Amino acid sequence: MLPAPLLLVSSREGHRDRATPRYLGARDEVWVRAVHQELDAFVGRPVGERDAGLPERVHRIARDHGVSTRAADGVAHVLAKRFKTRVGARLDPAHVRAVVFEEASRDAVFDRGAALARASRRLEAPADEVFAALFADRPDRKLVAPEATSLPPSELVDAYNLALVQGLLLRSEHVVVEVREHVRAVVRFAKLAGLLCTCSLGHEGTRLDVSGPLSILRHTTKYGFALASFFPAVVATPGFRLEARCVLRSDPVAVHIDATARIARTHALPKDADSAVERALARDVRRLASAWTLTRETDAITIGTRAFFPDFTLRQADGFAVLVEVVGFYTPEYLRGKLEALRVAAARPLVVCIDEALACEDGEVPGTVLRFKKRIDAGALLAAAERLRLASEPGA
Amino acid sequence: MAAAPPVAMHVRLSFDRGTLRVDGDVERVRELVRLDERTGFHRAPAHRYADLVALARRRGTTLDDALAPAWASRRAPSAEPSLRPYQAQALAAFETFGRRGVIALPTGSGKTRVACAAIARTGESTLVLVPTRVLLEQWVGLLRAQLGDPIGIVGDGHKRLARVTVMTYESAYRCLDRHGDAFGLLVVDEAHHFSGGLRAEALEMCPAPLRLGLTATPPHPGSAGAERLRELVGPVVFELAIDDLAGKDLAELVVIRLPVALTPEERDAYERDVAPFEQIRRLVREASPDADWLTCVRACARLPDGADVLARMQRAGALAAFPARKRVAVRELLARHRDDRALLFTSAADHAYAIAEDALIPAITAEVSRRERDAILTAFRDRRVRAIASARVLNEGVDVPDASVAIIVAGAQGQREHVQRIGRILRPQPGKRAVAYELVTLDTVDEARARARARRRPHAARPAAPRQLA
Repeated sequence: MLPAPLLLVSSREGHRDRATPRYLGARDEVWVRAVHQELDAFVGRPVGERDAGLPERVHRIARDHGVSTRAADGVAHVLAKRFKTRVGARLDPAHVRAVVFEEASRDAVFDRGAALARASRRLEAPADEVFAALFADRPDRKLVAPEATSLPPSELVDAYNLALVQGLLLRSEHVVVEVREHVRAVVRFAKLAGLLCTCSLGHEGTRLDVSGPLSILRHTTKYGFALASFFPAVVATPGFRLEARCVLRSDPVAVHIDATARIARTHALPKDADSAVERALARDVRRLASAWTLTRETDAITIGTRAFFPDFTLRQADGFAVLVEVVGFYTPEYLRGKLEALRVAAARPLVVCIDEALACEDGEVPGTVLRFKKRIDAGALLAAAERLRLASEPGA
Repeated sequence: MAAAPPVAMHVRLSFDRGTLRVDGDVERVRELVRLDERTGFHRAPAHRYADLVALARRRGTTLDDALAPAWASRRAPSAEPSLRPYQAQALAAFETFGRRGVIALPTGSGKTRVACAAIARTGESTLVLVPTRVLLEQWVGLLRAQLGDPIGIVGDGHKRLARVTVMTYESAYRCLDRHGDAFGLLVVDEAHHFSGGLRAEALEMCPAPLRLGLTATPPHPGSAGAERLRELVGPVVFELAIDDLAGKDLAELVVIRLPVALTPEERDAYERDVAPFEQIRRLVREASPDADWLTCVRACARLPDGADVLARMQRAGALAAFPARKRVAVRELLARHRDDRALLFTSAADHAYAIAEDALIPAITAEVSRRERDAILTAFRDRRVRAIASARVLNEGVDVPDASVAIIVAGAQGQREHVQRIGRILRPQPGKRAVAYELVTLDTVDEARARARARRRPHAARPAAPRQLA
């Protein structure tokens, strides 16, 4: 995550309260490679030397390529974390210190040369080496080690963009995100991070309002870390849109982020929640190549303050959507909760696919019911969706 | 005609993720609650628990309180430690103010002992908040010796809650939204840190009705910081300054100011680096004569080359904080006090290390591991090392073995830091005379900082009599 001084955003004239991150793109890869080479040149040198010398070199690259020095500093910041460090002394500095300071304390009148000579004898090393090792483990005296793996410039650009967005979210109070797929997984990530999440119907998916409990009582960036940590789950969903209420240099700013940006994906959303039946259905619908597209966990149905996520949404090009819920394994409590949710969901076109092994009557279940045994008939499901479409048309 | 629904005449209080969940007849406590539409119930800030309870009682509302019975069930008063007269006065003041307030006593005067007495007397489940890992260890040792019970520790890699628990500020900020309701008494060590809003949510997420703050440097009365501390912990209920105790309950103190000058080369470099900022400062002050230092810095930061100007000013400040003649003075002072145990305080870690390399003495900074720090302090206690250099780590909290000389090479954090540093050498010993040297570089920002520290001498300017607020 980038520190505050390196966060770059763009605002339109007269709209300082709204901003978008200033991402890097393909045309930046040339100078990003040059910055990478500069960092590489410091391998084997002390960290302090790199930290003192690097900014000037990086700023020169920025000037030569006509880009912001802060963007170049940001890339250097992201890159520097990829280089580990090591102590460049043969002797253990902590042990050297214990011996040297004890020897230096012995004389009634301080004698530096005599103290180092005694320490040198005890440590069986030349006095110069002893003195050089004294603070060789200070962070700025450690030596820069080579990168474990070298990323290509394109991936560094993506990593910079992720660090930029997470740096902004670290300073955010509240996030509104619109997710088209994997809503349940994203909500689960938010809840794991200790965030409160409310769901409602968005323009092209589900709108999630994400913040922390204290947020209604005071402006706080306490949940910034949680919001920044939760973001990789959002990036993993296609077509997301996010708006964060951030505090940048003490001013409130609404920052807009969406899936068109090149942002590194570090998380894969869990797929283990899919049952074999659901996976087979997704595959079969794709093979039928109909006018319907099937997406996972697109929409949320809110019941009071709880959210319910139908397994699939069948959608046509004009936006008409049919919710699909697969009811497989169950317990009586689970089934009661599910039926309650389905009754609310039934206000929208809904097909409920029920395992024949379940002992509930169709009459108990709201919506159109499609029974299955082991495998859902994709053709029958699409036919049911078509019937719902016809029924919804004016004059039907 | 349908019967009207029954009207709830009581308020239910419970803890929910760092806030108070308020159900029932919330209209009766309307001023303190807010509806959370995300969850469908009302919330109040956890630290307003006592106010909420008082308001409900004033209005004759029945309280269904999930927190108080849990605290009562864990209450276990124990034997109080013996207190010096002024410590007993401090504890009495805390009691008088309804067990909610800040006790301000100089470093080395036994604030922690007063807190131990408060914990023993109230018998409450207690959370002690400390700013550093070093203080975490010290408090755990002290409480274990005093109370005998297992002491909970949260921070520095530990996470174990007990009836009496010590927690770092950082851990509290992260986890009190889950555990804030476990404690009836909150003790905040070095409470002045919360006068500036730093991690203040930690205290806001804890409903403990009893709150005791400890500090050597309370914020100025009437300041925004004092008001903030009053809201989060309570008012300053008892205050003594160093001079009130020096020579009796603290060691006798002599402060010696040693001015030094820059060399001609250093002066040239200093003036070159300071000039651009001074020019901007003049312009800002022409436009707004009341503009303070921070306003000038902010104005400078907004200029296209502002970052460079500020970097040069920072370089000038570093030079003034540790010029060649301060290095010489440090050498001479260490030679003069070769037989005493001395603590050296710098404004930057690099300067502490420069002294350490020059005089071959250990440095304790944030870079030093706990194990090495303990080894250094043990060697200092055993007189195997004669002096320790430090930038900020030894400023407060660390239980430094008895030292009698402080060499304040430079300060960066004003009067509060200064009083903490001097407090390091005031632990009383029979016949002890503590000496503090303050090195000041003339005609530089270093001298301006020294003047600011001297405006309110913490060891001289306070009234001699204990200030007990009525």
